[in-house]
Amino acid sequence: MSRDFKAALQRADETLLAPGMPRAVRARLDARLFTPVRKRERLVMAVVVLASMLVGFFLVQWVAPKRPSSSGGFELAPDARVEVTREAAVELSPATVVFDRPRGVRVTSIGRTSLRRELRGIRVLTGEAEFEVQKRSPEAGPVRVLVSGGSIEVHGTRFTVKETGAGTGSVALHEGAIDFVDEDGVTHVVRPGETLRWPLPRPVEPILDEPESVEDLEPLPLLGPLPKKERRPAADWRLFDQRVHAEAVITELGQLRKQGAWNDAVHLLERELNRGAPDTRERLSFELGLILTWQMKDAAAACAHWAQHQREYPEGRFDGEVDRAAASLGCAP
Amino acid sequence: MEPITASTALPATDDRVLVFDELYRAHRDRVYAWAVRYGTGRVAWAEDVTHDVFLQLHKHLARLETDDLGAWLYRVTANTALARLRSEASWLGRLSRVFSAEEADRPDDALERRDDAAEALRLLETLPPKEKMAVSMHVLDGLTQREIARTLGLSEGYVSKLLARGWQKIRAAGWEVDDVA
Repeated sequence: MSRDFKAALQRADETLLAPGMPRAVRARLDARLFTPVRKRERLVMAVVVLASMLVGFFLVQWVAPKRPSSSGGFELAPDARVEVTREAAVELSPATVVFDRPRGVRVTSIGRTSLRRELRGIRVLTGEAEFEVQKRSPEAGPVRVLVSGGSIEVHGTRFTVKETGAGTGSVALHEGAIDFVDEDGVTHVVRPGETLRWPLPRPVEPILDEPESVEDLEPLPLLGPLPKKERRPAADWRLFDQRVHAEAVITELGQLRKQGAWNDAVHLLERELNRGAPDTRERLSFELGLILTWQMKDAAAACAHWAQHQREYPEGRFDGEVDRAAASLGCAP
Repeated sequence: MEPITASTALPATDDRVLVFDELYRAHRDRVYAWAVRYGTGRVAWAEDVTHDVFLQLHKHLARLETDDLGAWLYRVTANTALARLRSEASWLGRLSRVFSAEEADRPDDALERRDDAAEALRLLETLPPKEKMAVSMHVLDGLTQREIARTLGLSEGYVSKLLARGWQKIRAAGWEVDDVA
């Protein structure tokens, strides 16, 4: 007897499908399908939240202004590279910006620069740096940049200071105006575009040093030593002998030098030139020539004075210095 | 029992707001039934196929555009089953079956008492995967060669060959088949 395959297979199929999906299979399918799906959704959600938080964090870090740090009394720009030395100075790498906020000063180092914030001002120990000083009211007083050759007093300007650390350096003014006060207290005005170098030239050092007493007037060979008890105030010089007269003139001249009152100094010397002993007159004439040459920078008057000086004192004690001063002015021989 | 076919097994849905939970509850029994059929009664096998089909549904749910979700599920089930059968037929699949407990997951005892039905099922199981799928879809799902070809992504001529080979093997085993596909 032949068997019908299709009929047999359909009967088998009916038998297999009759029970339907067993409960256990349904439970397992539910668990397998839904738990992983929801877990995966939660995982995706967690990853999204985490990624959002990370993005937010980096965004805040990037956008938010960085808190300024400070070192050695200076506020540092965000990318400033500085070191603090034992002398409480800060060593700036080239192109580093620091601020002295209370004074309204911004310093940009040009080369490696060593600065120190002091009570009087900002001291440049070595290096080269550009200073920008916010404009200040006259009552606020100047900002001082201290260098080996004096101090630079500023009310608001931009300039570059170069300090070798060995007593020499320069200040170049870009805009505004600054006063350079040298170690002797003499003020030199620097104008935009000018560069002032220190130490300032002192053509004849022994003579330009302000004499503190008559002993500095070496030599005065015609006169004996001056007894200290005979010293008198400068105003009474006419009442005493020539030595006292010389002492008074030189003392007054020293004071006028300190004040930078060159016109008054010239008047004093012209007035007293023909008084006193010959050696004293030669000395006073020489001092007058120096002031006309180096301080007044009046070449015509200086040349005329040096010519007269050489006629009056052909074998003078200061011939060498006189020749150099006349040559520097280009005076006719 | 009413035969399950692709055209009547699942209602078409016009609702584009497809909620996976609801779709799963509505269609899981029918998908499982197809899987049991192609797995010749293996319960765990059918469970795995059903699981894979609904994973596919979940994956494509947002972009799924079909007017007949039943037909879509039927096609996915048939292809998932075929892929699994082919995988089992490979040497690696056979090796893994040796070490698995799947052989114990046989058709239930009811078949033991119906020798013809059980024998027909065992014979079906010996056919190569594509022939087995083609014969199952033709005999049990009532599909024509064209419908089988369309569902499995094969040419109609190839499906005709598969059926012819299947019938030949079945006849060789002493069965009668009215060969009208």
